[in-house]
Amino acid sequence: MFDDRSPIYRQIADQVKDDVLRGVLGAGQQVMSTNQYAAHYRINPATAAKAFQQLVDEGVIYKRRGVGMFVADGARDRLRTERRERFFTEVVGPMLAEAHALGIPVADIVAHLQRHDPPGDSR
Amino acid sequence: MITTSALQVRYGDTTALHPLDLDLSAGRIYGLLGRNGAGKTTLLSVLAGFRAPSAGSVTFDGAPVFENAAATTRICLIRDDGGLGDPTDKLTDILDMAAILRPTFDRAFAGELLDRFALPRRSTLGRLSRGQRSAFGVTVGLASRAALTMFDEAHLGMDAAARKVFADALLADYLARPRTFLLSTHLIEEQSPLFEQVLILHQGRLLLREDLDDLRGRGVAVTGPATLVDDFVSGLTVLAERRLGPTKEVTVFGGLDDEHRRLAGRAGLTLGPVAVQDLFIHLTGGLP
Amino acid sequence: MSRLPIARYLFSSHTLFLIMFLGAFYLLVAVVVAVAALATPITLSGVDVAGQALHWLALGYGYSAATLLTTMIVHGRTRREFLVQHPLFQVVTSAVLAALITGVYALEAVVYRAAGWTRRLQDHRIFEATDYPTIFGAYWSMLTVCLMTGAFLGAAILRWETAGALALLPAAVVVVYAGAANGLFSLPFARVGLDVAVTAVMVAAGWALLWSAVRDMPVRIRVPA
Repeated sequence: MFDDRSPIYRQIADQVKDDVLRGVLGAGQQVMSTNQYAAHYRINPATAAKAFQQLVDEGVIYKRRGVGMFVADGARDRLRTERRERFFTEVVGPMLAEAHALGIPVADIVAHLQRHDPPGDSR
Repeated sequence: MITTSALQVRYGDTTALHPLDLDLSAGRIYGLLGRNGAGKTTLLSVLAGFRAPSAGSVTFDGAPVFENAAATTRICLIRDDGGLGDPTDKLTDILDMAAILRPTFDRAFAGELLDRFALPRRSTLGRLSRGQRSAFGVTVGLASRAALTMFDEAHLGMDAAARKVFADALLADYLARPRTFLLSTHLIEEQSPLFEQVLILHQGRLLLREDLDDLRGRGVAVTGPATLVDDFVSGLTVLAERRLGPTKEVTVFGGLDDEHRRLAGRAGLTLGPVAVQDLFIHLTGGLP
Repeated sequence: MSRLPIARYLFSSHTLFLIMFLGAFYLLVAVVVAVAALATPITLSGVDVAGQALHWLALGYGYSAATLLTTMIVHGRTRREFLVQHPLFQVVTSAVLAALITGVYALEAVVYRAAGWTRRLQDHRIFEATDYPTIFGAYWSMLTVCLMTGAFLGAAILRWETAGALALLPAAVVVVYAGAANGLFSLPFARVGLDVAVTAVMVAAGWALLWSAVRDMPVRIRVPA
């Protein structure tokens, strides 16, 4: 479930963000409690709590005392904006560096992408 | 809740535990790591009052532990040496005995755990397999509901399925009744996610105490051309080096600041994470 | 919190076990006497002859107390509690067993009379065949001393290993000297007659020896077979 290298709380937070981004978790929807999360993934509850606290701090989820934690309105849009910026530095950047090392022209990459991009999914 | 002050344990001429000051707080799960002979069992034994300190003190909520029933009935250490009962005792009889001896023992919960581990109730302790004996130890340890519960290699001989039952039972009971656990283990990758904090014991001394998640981010593997790597790591804490032709991989401890990360990027060095187990091996002297 | 947990556990399981064990022991004696009666006229008290085995059994059972202490510590109890509650168990259980033995002597008297057998006791007994109070006292004394001394021996071997064998010396002194009082383990030159003071002093001496071995004994790492 978790890789054994980077901090677990960050991995948990990233998973929840992925779920929000993909729409698996919609705005206002309740997320698993810290304890459920800890028991389900066999991790220390304090670690899970730290992840959810980070998500609260970043405004992805909010707490309703005694009820649980829910996905914040607009969380998805905010995550998208943030990830879009990171997409070019973290995904496209290294890809171009690799292509450069292999001698692949940018035009080839563009042509490849145009062939493979599934139509109608670019919302 | 449990505190040691200048605690020492000697066996004749050999010192198993050098002066140790330690304070564990209530309601956390701690992991105790160390190589064979590092002093883990000695530390756990003296914390539980199984033996007296050679020097220094162990106190539980302020009172000395050794020979103090008010403390020892709230501390439980499960060790791998068959002290739970006589080999000819039936498992259920041992649980009945524990229920008389420990004020907090939950006999019904112990019965549930027997079933969860699929332990044969009517069997005697002596007829159990290695893994079953460990599972029975976990049963007694969890059902003791002690404020400080310690397992010394609780999972010894357990198969993967039984280890999952152990982790599930431990977490569920910890969430229902928060208390302090101290678990020693050699299965670092598998067990460490359970820990909030780890203690590493090395040659009778506390080498490191850190939140597990912080420790996970502390090791960095720097890979690249040997001369560039050497320049880059000078001034950093180097735990290990490996060479493959002109390429060198150096394990650095302590994490890297942004400045170093920029430098690495500019020099074309690869930075990778280091698994806790590898970090542990390097910190405790590396491979022979 | 309930009181005397170690003693309560011992009464609820070990005392019951020892009573049943003793019952089975005398059943065996009865069978042996009955078989012997087929071949030869009975002239000795079978129960009294069998009494010679009891101090060895009591010593042997007492010996196991040391590993029991380990178990008590593992389950959160202390050596100090053990040093109070195990002797309490010994004294009470010895009394119960001695009462049982006395009853068996009385039962045997009835059976022998009905069968018309002669019932002679061992020469060195300090009691007559129908002196029930003395029979009870002698066995109570013997059982308590042997349980205590056995416990000391077990603890000494567990604690000091090979050097613990030296414990045999003080243990022998206690058992023999107490035997001089209860007549159940006495050498011909040492016989004082049932003396409560001697028994009490020997039990106390056995306890002091046990205390010296146990009071700060570490729970060793034992690798199970």
